[in-house]
Amino acid sequence: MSSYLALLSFAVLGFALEMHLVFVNVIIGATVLTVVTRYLAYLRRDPGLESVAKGMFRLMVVTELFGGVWGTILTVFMAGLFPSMTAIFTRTYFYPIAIALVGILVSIPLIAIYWHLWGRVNPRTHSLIGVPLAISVLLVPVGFRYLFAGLDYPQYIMTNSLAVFSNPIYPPLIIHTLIGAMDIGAFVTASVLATRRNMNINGMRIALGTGLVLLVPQAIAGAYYFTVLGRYDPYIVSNIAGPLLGYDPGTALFYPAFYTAITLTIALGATALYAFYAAMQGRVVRPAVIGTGFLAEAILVLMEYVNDGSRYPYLFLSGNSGIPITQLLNTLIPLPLIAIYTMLLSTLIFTAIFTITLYYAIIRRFLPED
Amino acid sequence: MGYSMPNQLVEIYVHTTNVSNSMIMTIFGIYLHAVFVSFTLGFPLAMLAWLIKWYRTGDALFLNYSKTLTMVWAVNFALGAVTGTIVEFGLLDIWPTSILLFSSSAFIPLLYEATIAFIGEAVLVVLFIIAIGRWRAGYTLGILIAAWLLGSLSGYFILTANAWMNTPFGLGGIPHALYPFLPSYGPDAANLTATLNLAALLLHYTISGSGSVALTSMNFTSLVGTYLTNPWLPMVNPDAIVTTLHTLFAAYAIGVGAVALAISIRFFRTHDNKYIKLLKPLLWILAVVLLIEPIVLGHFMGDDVVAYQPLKFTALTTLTGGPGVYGYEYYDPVEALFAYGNPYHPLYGFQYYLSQCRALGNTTFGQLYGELDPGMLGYLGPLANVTLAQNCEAAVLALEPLAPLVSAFYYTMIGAGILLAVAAVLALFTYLVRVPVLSTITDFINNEILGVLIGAENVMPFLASAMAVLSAVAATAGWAAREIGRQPWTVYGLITTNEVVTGDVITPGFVAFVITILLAIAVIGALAMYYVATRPSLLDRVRELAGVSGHE
Repeated sequence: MSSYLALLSFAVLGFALEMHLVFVNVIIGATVLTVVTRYLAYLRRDPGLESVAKGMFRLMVVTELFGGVWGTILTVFMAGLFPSMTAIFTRTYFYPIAIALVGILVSIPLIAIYWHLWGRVNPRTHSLIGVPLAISVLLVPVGFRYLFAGLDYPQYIMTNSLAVFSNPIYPPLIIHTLIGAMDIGAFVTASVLATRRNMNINGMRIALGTGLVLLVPQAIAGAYYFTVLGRYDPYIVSNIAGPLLGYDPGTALFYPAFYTAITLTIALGATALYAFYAAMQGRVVRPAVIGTGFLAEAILVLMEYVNDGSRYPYLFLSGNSGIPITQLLNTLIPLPLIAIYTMLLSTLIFTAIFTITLYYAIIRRFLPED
Repeated sequence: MGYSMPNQLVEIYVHTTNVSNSMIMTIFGIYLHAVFVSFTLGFPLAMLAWLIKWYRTGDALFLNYSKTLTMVWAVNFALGAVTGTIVEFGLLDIWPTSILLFSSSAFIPLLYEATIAFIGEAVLVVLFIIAIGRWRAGYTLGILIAAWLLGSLSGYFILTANAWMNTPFGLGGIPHALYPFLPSYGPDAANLTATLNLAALLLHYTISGSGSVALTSMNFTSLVGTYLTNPWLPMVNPDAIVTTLHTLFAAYAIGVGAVALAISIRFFRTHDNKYIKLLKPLLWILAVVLLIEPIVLGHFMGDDVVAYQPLKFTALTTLTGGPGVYGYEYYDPVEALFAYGNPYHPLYGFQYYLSQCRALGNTTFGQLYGELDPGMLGYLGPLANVTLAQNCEAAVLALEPLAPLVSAFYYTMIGAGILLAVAAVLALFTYLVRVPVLSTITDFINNEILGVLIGAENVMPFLASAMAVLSAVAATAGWAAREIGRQPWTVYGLITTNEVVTGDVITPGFVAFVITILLAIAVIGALAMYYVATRPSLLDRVRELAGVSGHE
C-alpha cells in the first residue's frame, strides 16, 4: 500500500507539473518573442509585425491566469505530499526561489505597464520597457530550474547557501528549458494565428521561422544536457536511453516515451518546414500550422515526463541510487486515497471545460482581431 | 510579576528580528490579497442583484452595469490569483514550517481548495464573461451563482486551514497538558508521542537557529510518524464553520460595499437618479449581510474565542479591563454578559494564567520525554532542564506586551460593527421595508436629522457609503485582533511563530523591496479596475472586435 501510495503521489505531482508547464512555456516563449518582435516592428516601422507582437502578448496574458492556477495546485501537491522535499527546497534553494519570486512579482506590474503603454508612449520607450519585462519572466524558470537540478545532483546538505548556484546539471538544463520555452511559444503562437479568420501570413511566417530556427540550438542543448546527465546521473540516462543505446534500464516506463518524443520532434521539424515553405509562398496550410503547436506541446509533455519520471523510485538522485520517494512521502497524516481520486477527477473535468472555453472563448472570440 | 524567561524560551516565545521583519511583509501581502478576494466574492452578488432586476424590469441600465462590473470582476479575479500565489510562496519560503500544515491538518482543505474550488471558479469566471447578456438568463445566472459558490467554497477551505491554527481541533487534551488554561480541542485524534516528537524537533532546531530545519531532515517523517490520525477532522472544526461564515459575510459586505461606494460617489457628483436605482438592490444585500454579520456571526465568533482561546480573550478586553487585566481577575459587566451570559462573572487576568502554569509543578521536559519517548531526549538539549511551568509562563508573558494593541484593534472592530449595524437598520426600515414604529423612528433619523445635515437625497447613498467604509474598517481591525491575539503561537498551544519563520536572514531592504512591489501591484491593480469600470461598453467593444454579436 505504501509503495502504491508513493507511486500515486509521485504521479499526481508529475501530472500537476506537466499541466503547469504546458501553460508556463507558452507564457515564457510568448513574452520573449513579443518583446523581440515588437522591437523589430519599431526598427522596421512595420505595423504588421507590431500586430503579430500584440497577438503574442494577448496569448500570453490569457495563458497567464491558468498557468497561475496550476502553479497553485502544484505547490499544494508538493508541500502536501512531500513535505521534507519542499522544506529542503525552501531552505537549500532559498535564493533561487527568491529569484523566481522576484521574477513573478516584478513581471506582474510590468505586464500591466507594457500592455497599458502600448501605443501611448513612443515605440522606442515601449520597446525598452519590454527588456525588464522579458528578463523578469525569464527569472522564473531561471530560479525554479535550480530545484530540478538539485533533484538530479543533490545539494541538500550544503552549508553555504550560495553553493547551489554551481550545480553542474543546471547550465545545460536551463539552456534547454529556455530555448524550448521560446520554441513552444513560437509554434503555439503560429497555431493560434492560424485559428483566426483574418489570418496574418506575415505573423505566421515569423512565428514558424522562429520556431524552426530555434529547433537547431534546442537539439544541440538537448544533446549537451544528455551528455551532462550521463556523467552525473547514469541512472536517469539508463532509464531514458534504454536498450537501443546499449543501456540496461530498470524500467521500461520511460525510454519508449523518449524515443516517441524524438520522433515527434522530427515530425515537428518536417511539419513546420512544410508550413513555413507554404507561408513563404503566400499560402496557409492551416492543419499543418495548428499541428506545430500541438506537436510542440506534446513533445514538452513527453520530455518532461521522461526528465522527471525517470528518477523513480527516487526523488533526490545520487549516481545510481538516491533518496527513495517512500522516505520523503508524507506520513504526518494517513493520506486518504479518496481525496486524491476526487482531486484527480475534479481537475480533469475542470481542465476539459477550461480547454474548451479557452479555445472557444479566448482564442476564437475574445482576442480582438486587428 | 517578577517572572523571567529562561534564555532558551526567549528564542521560542519572543519574536526574533526575522519574525518581525517577515511579519510586516506577510501582513501587507495577506491584506492586499484579502481586498481582492473580498471583491471577487462580493461583486457577483452585486451583479446578481442587477441581473435579477434586469430580468424583472427589462431595464437595460442594470444589464449594462452588470457587464461593466463583470469586466472589473475579471481583472480583480486575476489580481486575486496573482496575490494568492505570492502569499502561498511567501508561506512556504518565508514561513517554511507552515509546510507542516500543508501536509497535515490543512492537507484536505488545501488540496480541495486548489483542485475543486479555485480551478472551478477560474473556469466559470471565464465562462460567465462569455455568457452574460448572450446566453439564456437561467444559464447566465446559474454560471454566476456557481462561480460565486465555488469562490465561497474556496474561502471555506482556506479558512478551515486558518481556523485550525486558531483552534487545533482534534488535538484533544495535548495543548491543555502543556498550558493548563487551554481547553480540550475536540476528540483525541492526535498521537501523543508523535505530537511531542514533532514539538521536540521544532524546539530543538529553533534554539539551534531555525525550527524549519527540522523538516529538512531526511528522517523527519519517520521520526514524527503519524501525529494527526484523522485528516478530515479540521473540516468539521466548529471554529472553522463560524470563522468561515463570519469572514465570508465580511467579504461579501466589503465587495458589495465597494460597488455601493463607487455608485454613491457617482451620485454625489452627478445627482443622477439612475445611481439611486442601481444602489437600491445593493442596499438590500448590504443591510441583510450587515445585520447578520456583526450581531449573529460576530457573537458566535466571540463565543469561540472565549471557549478556545482564553488568553486571547483577556488580551481583547485589555483596554476596558484596565490594570486589572494584569492581575488575577477583573470585572467588566458588558464583556462578561456577552461572554458568559452573566455580568457578574469574573474575567481572568494574566496572573490567573500564570498561576495555572505554576500548577504544572517542577516537571521538566527531560522528565516528560524520558517517560514518553526517551529517543527524543537527544533533541531537547538545553530544554531538558526547563520546566513545563516555565514554558507555560513564557507563553503568557509573550502575549502581555501585545495585549493593548490587540485590544485596540478589537474595540475598533466592535465600534465599527455597531455603527454599521445602525446604518443597516436605518437603510432597511426606511428604504427597503416598512415596519410600524421602527420605520417611523428610522424615518425621523434619516429625514429630520441626517436629511437636514447632508440633504435628503444624499441620505441613502450616505448610508451605503458608511456601511462600505465601516465594513472595511471592522474587517481589517477584526482580522488584526484575531491574528495578533494568536501570538505567541502560530498553531494555538502547539507551534510558536518563531518556530515557523525561515532561518535565512530577512533584511529590512528585502522587506522594503517586497512591499514596494506589492504596492505597485495594488496601485496598478486599482488603476486597472478603475480603467475598466469607467469604460461601460468595454465588454461589448471587445465582442464587437471579435465579431461576436450579442442577442440580449
